[in-house]
This record gives sequence, structure tokens and C-alpha cells, in this order.
Amino acid sequence: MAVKSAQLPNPTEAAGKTFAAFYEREYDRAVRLAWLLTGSLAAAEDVVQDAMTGVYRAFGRIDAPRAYLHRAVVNRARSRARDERRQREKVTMLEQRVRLDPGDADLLTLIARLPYRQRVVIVTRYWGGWSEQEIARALRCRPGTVKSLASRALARLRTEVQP
Amino acid sequence: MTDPFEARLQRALDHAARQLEVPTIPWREPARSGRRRPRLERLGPPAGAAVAVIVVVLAVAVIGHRHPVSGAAAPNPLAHAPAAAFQPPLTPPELNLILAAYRRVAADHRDCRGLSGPELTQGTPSSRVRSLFSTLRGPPTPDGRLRQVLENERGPALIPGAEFYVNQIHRARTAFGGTFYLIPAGNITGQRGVPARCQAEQVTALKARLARAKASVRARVLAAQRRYLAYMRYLALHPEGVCAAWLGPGVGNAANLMCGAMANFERWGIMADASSALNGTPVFWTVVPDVVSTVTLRFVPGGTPLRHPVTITVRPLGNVVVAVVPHGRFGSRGSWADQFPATIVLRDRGGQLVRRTTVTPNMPTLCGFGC
Repeated sequence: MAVKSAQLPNPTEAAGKTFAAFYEREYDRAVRLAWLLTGSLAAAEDVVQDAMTGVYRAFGRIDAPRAYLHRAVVNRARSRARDERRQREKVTMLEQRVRLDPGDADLLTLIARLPYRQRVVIVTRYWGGWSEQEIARALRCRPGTVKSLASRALARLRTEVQP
Repeated sequence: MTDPFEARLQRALDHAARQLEVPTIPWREPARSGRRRPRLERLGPPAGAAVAVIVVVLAVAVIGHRHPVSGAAAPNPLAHAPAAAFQPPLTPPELNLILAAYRRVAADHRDCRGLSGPELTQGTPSSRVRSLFSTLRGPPTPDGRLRQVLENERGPALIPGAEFYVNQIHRARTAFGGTFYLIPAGNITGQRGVPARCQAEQVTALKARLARAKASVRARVLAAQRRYLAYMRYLALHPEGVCAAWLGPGVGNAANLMCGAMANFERWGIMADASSALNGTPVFWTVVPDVVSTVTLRFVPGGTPLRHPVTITVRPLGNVVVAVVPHGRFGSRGSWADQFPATIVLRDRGGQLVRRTTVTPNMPTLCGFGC
């Protein structure tokens, strides 16, 4: 039986729709994650758009697009974090964007000053709720390293936070 | 989680992230990788070869741009373009004299102004323009605020006589809290054809002005005027281009508007090596066609605060490239010179070289034309 080609689903369109739904679902949270990592909303939007483009291109080939997106955001945010100028502006920008209690603001400032991998561990573990395995995959290290990074970051934060 | 410190950590992060207002940006499908895109080398003959780049910065931002001079490693489709296609280098005194002659003639003959025309129109870009920029192939995404800026600032403050297709505004990407838009333009310079006698009148007016000048000065300035008038004729014949605007996040924020003729893209692959400050951050930004997948900028010491060369590679998003200038000293010397990369390398998806441009210090710049 001949089937009109118009009745067949267009794989590209179908993938596009699925991705559009994925984008709508994940965009907001991904921006928040990138913002916590970079300290700048503008940078966060850039990072996520860039990461989303990467996910889009690989969408048909990857099993876990969400994890892929998370890894892409963490890796791209790392490049951003290398920019010292942004690092200097980070604290100010965090405070400009949201109203925080003074205690929370201090804590976030300290988190923003952590080395990048320690910051990723703190943000993804305590805000993102990621498992050690997920963090390890994003950072391309072993779970043991994640434990060590978390331990060092917490120790540093505890030391620096005013009682 | 029993540890009170960890609980506090979680609460602080939750609280901050929850308060953040994330602007909604709809998904725009990027160009498909399988699609055959026109390489710059495959473009048609260099019909539009004008190098007309105009940087207009509205509100509080500052003007800055310069034209790259290419040392093309890839075949250059405009290698044999007429010299008139590109902005000639003129000294400020030369330009002042030439413009004075123009104003003198335009005052006496209205049809010699060549700048009248609708600034905002409902036209559509040519297929040639749309084939180069995937952002322009999607549905328009007009922004009322941008349109308001264009409408309010039109006239001499903007580009008199330029013709923006305001129903074809396309959102390209966000950066530094603002949004970039692409706006195709039927005429980016405002230059329109004028009767042939007008240029002869301008030559006569300049000769009269230089009547008592030294013969060598007179010859030099008249030669400069010939090059300038040839360039103006070329602009009038090949006016089409693309403009890009960055609109800051709030009312009263700076807006950048930059336009480039199609010749810019065909010869150099970019609109211009423009630099600016977006939300206070010094950046290099420009527009590239779909064929460009990566843009590598090399900043070198010498005229910059850098001690060592710095190379940055960025990917365009929505045809717009934005890179933070590494030394980040925008405006600190009152000069834009240290903002510019020494070389700009464009590559396609396969890593093949599209264009390599060497930015030379003696290139013609807008400021070289009188600012």
C-alpha cells in the first residue's frame, strides 16, 4: 500500500519539537545554575545558549540530554570563570541581581571566591542536588575527587564564615 | 542533611537562585549542519563592494570602529574589486575640505544632497542577504523598544537617508544582559544617486576653495576628492547591507548600532572589527555569515596593556560574535586602538580557513575621517 509521504512523520521536525520541549523545560534551571557558577546573568545566558546549541546538534545521538546539558554548562562556565575581570565583578553582580540577607550574601561571596571546581561541587551538590557520580562526570574526575573537593570547599567556607 | 552549616549553604543558594529573574528566550533553531551553505568564495561576482561601515552608538555608549585591511590567505572574491568599492584613507583636513565642498553644493542644489529617503521602511532583504544569514531566514521578532530607538533617533543623529527594513528585525542572541538584533537594510549609508552634474559642482567648489593653496596641496586634496567621490558613487549603486543593534537591559541603557555593506562580508567575512562596551564590559563584537563557525582573535602587546599575545576563539551565535577584550581597558587611554585584535581568523565547520585578516595600524578608520 502506498503511503503518502506527507503522512509520514518528518524525523527532523519531530526531533525539533522534542528539543523545543526540552529547551523550554531546562532553560530556566540551566541559567540559574550557570548564574551561580559565573555570577553574571549575561554570562549565564550566553553559556546556556551555547550549551543548548551543542545539545541541539547532538540531540538525536545522546541518551541523556539533561546530563549532557549540565556538563556543557559546567564546562562552558569554567571558560567564563577564567576571565579575571568577570571574577572581580562577580560578587557585585550577584548582589545586584537579587536581594539577599547579609549573611547569605557573605556566604555567596565566599562561594564565588572558591576555586572553580570546588564551586561547582558546592553549587551542584547543595543547590542542584546532584549525586557524586553526576558531579564527577561533569568535572571529568573520579567520585573520590568530588568528595575531596567538597571537603576542602566546606572546610574553607566554615573557616571564613563569621560565626 | 543534619549539618546546620550545610543546611544554611543550601538555603542561601536556593534563596538566591529562586529570586533571580530569568528572561525567557524562545528557542531558535540554528542552521542545520547538513545544509550546504554558500561559502564566501562561491558567492557571485563582487557587485556590491562598498566598504561602508558606520558605527552609530546611541545614548551613552561611545563610537568606535575601524576597517580591517586584509591579508587574505583564502581566495578573495573581491581581489579585483575596484578601488572605489572601499573607503579611501583621508586625513581629517582633507575630509573637512571635501565635506565643505559637498555642503556648499548641497545648499544651492537640493537634488545634490543624495541623502533623502525613508529611514524606516517595510521592505524585505534580497535573497542574497537572506542566503548568508540564517538569523534573517526565520520569522521576524520585532522589538518595540528597538523600533522606538530607531524611530526616535532617526535623522541626522542616526544615518540620514539610510533605509532600515523595520518589519524584518530579527532577534539574534543575548549578551551582557542585552539583546542583539539583526536588521537588514536596503541602504546603509544614506547615499543615493545624485545627478552627474553634482559631483562636477563639488569639484568646482573645492577648486575655488583651494585657489590660494600651494599647488602640491591642491593636487593632493583634489586627488583625495576624486577617490572620495568614486566611493560615494559606488555606495549609491550598491547600498544594501545588514545592521546589527545591541539593546541594553533597561530603559535609557546604551544601544549600539552598526551597519556593514555586503562587500564587507564578501571581502572580510565580517561586518567590521568593531569594539564597544556592553553593559560596561569592553568587547569585540561583529556579525558573520553562516559559513563562519569559529572566530579566532589574536591580541598582541604593543599599544595594549598586554605583556604576552592572547588568542581567543569564539563561536558565533545567531550570526553574532561577541568576545571579551582580554586586557579589558576600554576607554582607559581615551583610545579605541588598544581594543582591536591584531588578526582575525574565520573558519568554517570543518576547520577550513574562510578568511584571515590582518588588522594594520594605518587602516582607515571612522575617526580618521574626522572624529
